[in-house]
Amino acid sequence: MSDLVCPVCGKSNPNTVEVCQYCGASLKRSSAASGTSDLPGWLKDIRKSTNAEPAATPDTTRPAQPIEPAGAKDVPFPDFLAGLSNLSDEEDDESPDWLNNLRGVLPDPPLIYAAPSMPRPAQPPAASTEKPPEQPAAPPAENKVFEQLPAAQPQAEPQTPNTDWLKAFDLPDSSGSVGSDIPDAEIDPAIYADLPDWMASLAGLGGQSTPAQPEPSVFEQSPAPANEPVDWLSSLGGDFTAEDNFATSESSAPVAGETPDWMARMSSSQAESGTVQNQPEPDWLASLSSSAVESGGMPGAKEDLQSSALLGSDDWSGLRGSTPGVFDASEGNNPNPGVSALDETPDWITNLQGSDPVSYEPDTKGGSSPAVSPFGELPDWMTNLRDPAATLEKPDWLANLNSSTPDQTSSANIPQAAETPVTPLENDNSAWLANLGGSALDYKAPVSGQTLESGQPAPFADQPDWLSSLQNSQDASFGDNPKQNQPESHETSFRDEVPDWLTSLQGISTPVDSVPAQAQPEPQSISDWKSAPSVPDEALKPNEPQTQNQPFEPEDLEGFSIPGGTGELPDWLARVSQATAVENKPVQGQVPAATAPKTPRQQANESGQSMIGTGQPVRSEVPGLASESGNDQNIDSIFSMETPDWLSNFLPAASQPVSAPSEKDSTPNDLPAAELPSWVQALRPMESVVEETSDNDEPQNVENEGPLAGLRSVLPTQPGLTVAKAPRAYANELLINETQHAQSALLENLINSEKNPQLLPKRPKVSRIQPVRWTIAAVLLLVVFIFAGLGSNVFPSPATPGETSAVGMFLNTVGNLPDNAPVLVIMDYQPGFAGEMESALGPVLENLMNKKARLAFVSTSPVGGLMADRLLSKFSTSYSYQIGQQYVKLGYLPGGAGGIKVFADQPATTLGQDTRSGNLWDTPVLKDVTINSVTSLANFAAVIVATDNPDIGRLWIEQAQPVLGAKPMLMVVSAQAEPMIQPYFQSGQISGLVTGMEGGLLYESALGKSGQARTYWDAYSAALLVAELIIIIGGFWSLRAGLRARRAGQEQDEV
Amino acid sequence: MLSTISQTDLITGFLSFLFTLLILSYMVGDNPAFRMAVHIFTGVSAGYIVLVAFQAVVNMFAPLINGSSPDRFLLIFPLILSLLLFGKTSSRFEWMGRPVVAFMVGVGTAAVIGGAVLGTLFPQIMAASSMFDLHKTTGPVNAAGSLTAGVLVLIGTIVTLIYFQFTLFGKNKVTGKRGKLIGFISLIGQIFIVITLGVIFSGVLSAALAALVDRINSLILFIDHLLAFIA
Amino acid sequence: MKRIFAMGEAVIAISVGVIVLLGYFIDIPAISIFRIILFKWAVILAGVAVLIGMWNLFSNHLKKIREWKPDSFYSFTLLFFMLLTIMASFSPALQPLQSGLLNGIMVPVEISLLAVLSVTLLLASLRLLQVRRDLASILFMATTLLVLLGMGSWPYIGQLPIISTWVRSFVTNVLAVGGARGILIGVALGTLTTGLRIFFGVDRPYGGK
Repeated sequence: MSDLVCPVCGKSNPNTVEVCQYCGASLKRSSAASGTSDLPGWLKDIRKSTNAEPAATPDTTRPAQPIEPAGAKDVPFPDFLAGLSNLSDEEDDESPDWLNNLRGVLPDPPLIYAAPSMPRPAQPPAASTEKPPEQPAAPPAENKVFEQLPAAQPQAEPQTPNTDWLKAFDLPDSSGSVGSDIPDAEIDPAIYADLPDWMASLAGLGGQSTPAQPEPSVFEQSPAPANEPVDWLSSLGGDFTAEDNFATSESSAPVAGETPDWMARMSSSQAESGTVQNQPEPDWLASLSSSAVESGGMPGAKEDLQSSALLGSDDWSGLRGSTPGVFDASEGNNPNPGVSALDETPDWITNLQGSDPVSYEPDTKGGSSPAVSPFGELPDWMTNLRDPAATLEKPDWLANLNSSTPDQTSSANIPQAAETPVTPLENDNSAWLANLGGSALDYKAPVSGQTLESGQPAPFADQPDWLSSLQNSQDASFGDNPKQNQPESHETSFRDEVPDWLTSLQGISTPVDSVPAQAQPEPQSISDWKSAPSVPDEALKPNEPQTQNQPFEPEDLEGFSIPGGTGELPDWLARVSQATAVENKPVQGQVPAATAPKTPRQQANESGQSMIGTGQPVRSEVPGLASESGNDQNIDSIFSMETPDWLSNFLPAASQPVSAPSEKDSTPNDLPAAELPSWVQALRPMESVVEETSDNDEPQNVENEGPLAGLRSVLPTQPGLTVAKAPRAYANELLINETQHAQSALLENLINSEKNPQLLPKRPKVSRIQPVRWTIAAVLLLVVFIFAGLGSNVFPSPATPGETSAVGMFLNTVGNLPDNAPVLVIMDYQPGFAGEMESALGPVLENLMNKKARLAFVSTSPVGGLMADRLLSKFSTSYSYQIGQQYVKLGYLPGGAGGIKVFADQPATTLGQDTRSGNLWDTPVLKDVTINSVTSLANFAAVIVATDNPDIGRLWIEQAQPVLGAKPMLMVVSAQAEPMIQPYFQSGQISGLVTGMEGGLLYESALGKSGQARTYWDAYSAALLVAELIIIIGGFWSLRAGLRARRAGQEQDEV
Repeated sequence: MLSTISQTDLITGFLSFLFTLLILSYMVGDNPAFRMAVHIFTGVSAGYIVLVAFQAVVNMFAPLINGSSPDRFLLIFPLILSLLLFGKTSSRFEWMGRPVVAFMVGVGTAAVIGGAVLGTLFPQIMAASSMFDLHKTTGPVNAAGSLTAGVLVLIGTIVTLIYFQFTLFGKNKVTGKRGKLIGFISLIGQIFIVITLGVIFSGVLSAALAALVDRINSLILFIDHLLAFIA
Repeated sequence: MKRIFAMGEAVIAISVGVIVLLGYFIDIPAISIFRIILFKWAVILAGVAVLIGMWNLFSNHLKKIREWKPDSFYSFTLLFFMLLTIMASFSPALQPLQSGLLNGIMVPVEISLLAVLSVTLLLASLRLLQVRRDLASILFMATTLLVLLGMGSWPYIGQLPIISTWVRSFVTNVLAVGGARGILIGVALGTLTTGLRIFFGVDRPYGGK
């Protein structure tokens, strides 16, 4: 048996090895029939769909749908992912890490895709034992990968679901079935579980019945009905109409563990043609497909692209290019949501169609001249793969694809794609995609007569020119394969004609240490390419983290070789290498990072997993995706929106060879660390970060013995580092220093000093204020003594009070009292105010005595009774008022407001029960107060409150006045309480108010009598005058002193 | 003019004269005589208060002896509470009197609240608007005067209340000063309060002067009586 | 245990206060009867509290005498006259003594103290503007002067015609009433707030926490 050619590095390896000796890629072949036995199921499906589905008219008016692989079967798509057939069964069953991460599942060991229609992304070096990736080999060797792809295709289909997504790129074979070489039975339903949508959609293009897929949690994937055109490109978009059967944009988010929409669409598209799975297609793929369709490119290419859903709609929504009518999800007439994207052809696809729709020429060197990407902005991994020079012209394989699919434009299912002119691959980012439409892809264009559901786009009916050119170039590069120009042989021709760029990419993606040990023979056709040993797992492994961000180096392309090709770099790929030579300088042995401006999504997912196959970054492994600075913008515009980081940093060159994903966490020191997307990094526990940081620890930190053997960063316990000794004994005493002791003593003294009263400083016996006080006192005493002793009547009495005045109303009220009426008099003034109060209350009592009123005295002050006696004694000579006869003293009422209240409510039970006098309420004085055995204050004719305290007066007003009802409450207050009682008088709560000596004098004047008030009036008035003079003089004196002080202060300030 | 003075009145007068002088000696300065007189006064006052309070309490507990059964039953509780209240005199048994004090505080507080709301708050608020009732006035002049007075009283009431609002809001919390509007209103309220305090001060002064006049008059009266007695 | 007592005291104060307060607003016979009983008990207890206060005064001065402190003679005098006053009321024969003590000592001393206050107030009014010269002080003194001028009479003139009638009436019956009403309302609100704080247990003037 001939040696195996590594699909990744393109180097030959002996048959006995399963892993490439150079890049570590798996050398397992696919199924014998299709050469894709080791391919993931999705990839198989893609291939089957491309072989089964007939060509269909592209329907650009319909929303993007997965491209029917059958429609593209006339266009030989190079099976650049034929190397994925090297994936083992076990590996095929495992979803790639990047895919799992997209679905939110722990990444599985990286798998190697044997995608028939997509170049296998470059894989990081598999193991430390593997050699570092070699520099790209000579151009002839570049095609080795692609040469291998066709050979890999006929092999057994890979059971891995990860490779089915690329089946969308399979060209339809003569039978019109896309991917017919991929037996349906070999498609494992589980393969769709872990695929991104776009991959799933690609898988659906295999023309096989869509296997039952696991129920996705995120991706609302539903297998597309049979014969439903699959638009894998549309599946790449995120927004699809409700009519679309593809998964919605929500479901388009790649979640690890579930089949992405694009892959589902691929499967559904494959089922239609097949089995085509409706998947939301990213924009770029939708545009890609539309451009392909419009340009009359590879039939079914559009469907394939759409259904492939390379990256899922979220990531690839930015890939929706400016090309209209390709991935227009707003279109409602497309039942397939994925097809809606057909209306919006991404820029890179339009660019693929470009200004020179027929500029796709087969690149004898294995690479086709890249054209402008119709998608506008490609992910970084695509941009990195571009060659500036390659963007100027279509790649050969893409040109071949376009030329070989003339009847795809008649597809009615993809009218938008048909309308969209296919632009040449001017954009490097789309070079590889353009090649997808060409002969390099094992794309199964829909053949004529292939039944499609109404409204379903014919697979690859409107494949972009690039896709056609890809096929053509593949055909050309594969050595004039007669099948290249035949739609029926598109598949095989495509597979046999893996574009050089693809193979070269595969070769670039395989670093030196990842070169598969077993080099595969160069396939002579696309089928050979398909049947070629699949890219070893090592080759398809994700890049190391430190390699993923490195730009793609043109030198990386040197090792690419397309199986069956000339082994030379495609022109477009060569241009990529030239363009990126200036931009990036790859680190030896490391995958150059993407040079294209990254979209936020790209940057966020910069270190994310590859959505192709293994979950590792794809950017460095997908041949033909070399970035080209000249057309970065166009391609970038496609992928500007939501290109994941891993895709943005996808580097085809210098990618590590795919290695067995045996170790996820620990990476060899010489391997670049995997670059995880930002969102994954955010999820990573700190331990993982610590572990990563500990990767650089010296080897001696690894514990070799003891219970901690094998652990790293263990604290060293060398003798001498730790001294075992008894713990230090601490004293129970409070250790304080001198300062603290002094402060505590001070605090204690302060506390103790609080108990000792401070002695006030002795004031001088004679102060400056004393003479003034003496003077004032002397003057006052003299004036008062003179006027009081003389008994003069110099100061006239005030005028008679008016009736509306407070005194006048008091007079009227008392005057209106009936004779011999019980009147309650409350004596609540202090003995100190006796002089004033007696002057004010005296005439009132005299007036009441004149009316023979029966007086009841009560007081809330203990000395009230004494005051009553004192006052009454003044009138004893004039009025024979006897206690118990004309007046009674009810006594002292304690309790303040409560006592007043209870006395007001029940006076008889509160006071008046004298132990000596008995019940005072039964005396003749108060017998009228008790009416019907009810004693109430309201039974008194009037209540007169005499107080010097405004608060006491307020209490009586608040507590007793409401009980009186209509009975008047009169008040005789001191001059100091008058301002606070005046509001109650104005509110009507008291009927009359007599204030101080003046009020008494007014009352006396009204009565026409002369009492104490009149006696005191002259002295009082004189004292008031003296006080007024003192206040006036004092005011002037103070002002003068203040002015003096101010002047002195000003003079002092001036000085 | 001298009148018949009894010995009682003579002694009383003499004591009054004496203690008046003793107290008035404070005008010169603090002296022991003044202190003695004050202490004597305090003693006498305290003694008198004790007499009066005791008599009042005794009179309140009189139904315990000669009252009806319900009255006796109801008076048992205050008797017990009174005994517990005596625990307040000792720091050791002070805790016994706290419930009694709590009882008194509760009753007193409720009485004060009820009186303040029903006796002051509502009537005074109503009175602030009653001054605008022109039906009580006679004639336009009185009406105009009443309106003016009512407006001024109302303004004075409001600004006085605003003056006592010392809560700061918003950014004034940081500065610790009132806002401009509130500051201006508070200034007007301060004016009204100052005027009220001035009137109160004048009343206190007049009361004090009246007391002085009364004392001087009493001194003169005593001297007159004494001279008459001597004569 | 202390906490239980404290809570019990609060419960007593609050419960009693609520019952009494309800009687001001709701006229329910059952509550009114119980309310009167509580009031009477409070009056009795207030009288007892006065006696306890006097006893406290007595005991403090007695302690001073026992300790022979510097001012113990004054305390002795105080206690002597206190007991003398109490003793004088027990016997009718000592009625003149009691009258002499009350009318000769207590009342005159108190009046005299207020008389001395007049000199102090005048001295303070004289020095007010020296100590504080601002709008409030000037306005205060001006108001006092106006009221005094309107209150007293002038020799042979009598009260000043405009000041005694219009100005003094305007100041005392309008301006002062506005301020006084605001103060009264404010005091009522403060009383209400303080009372509610006691009812809510926030303030416990009766002691305890």
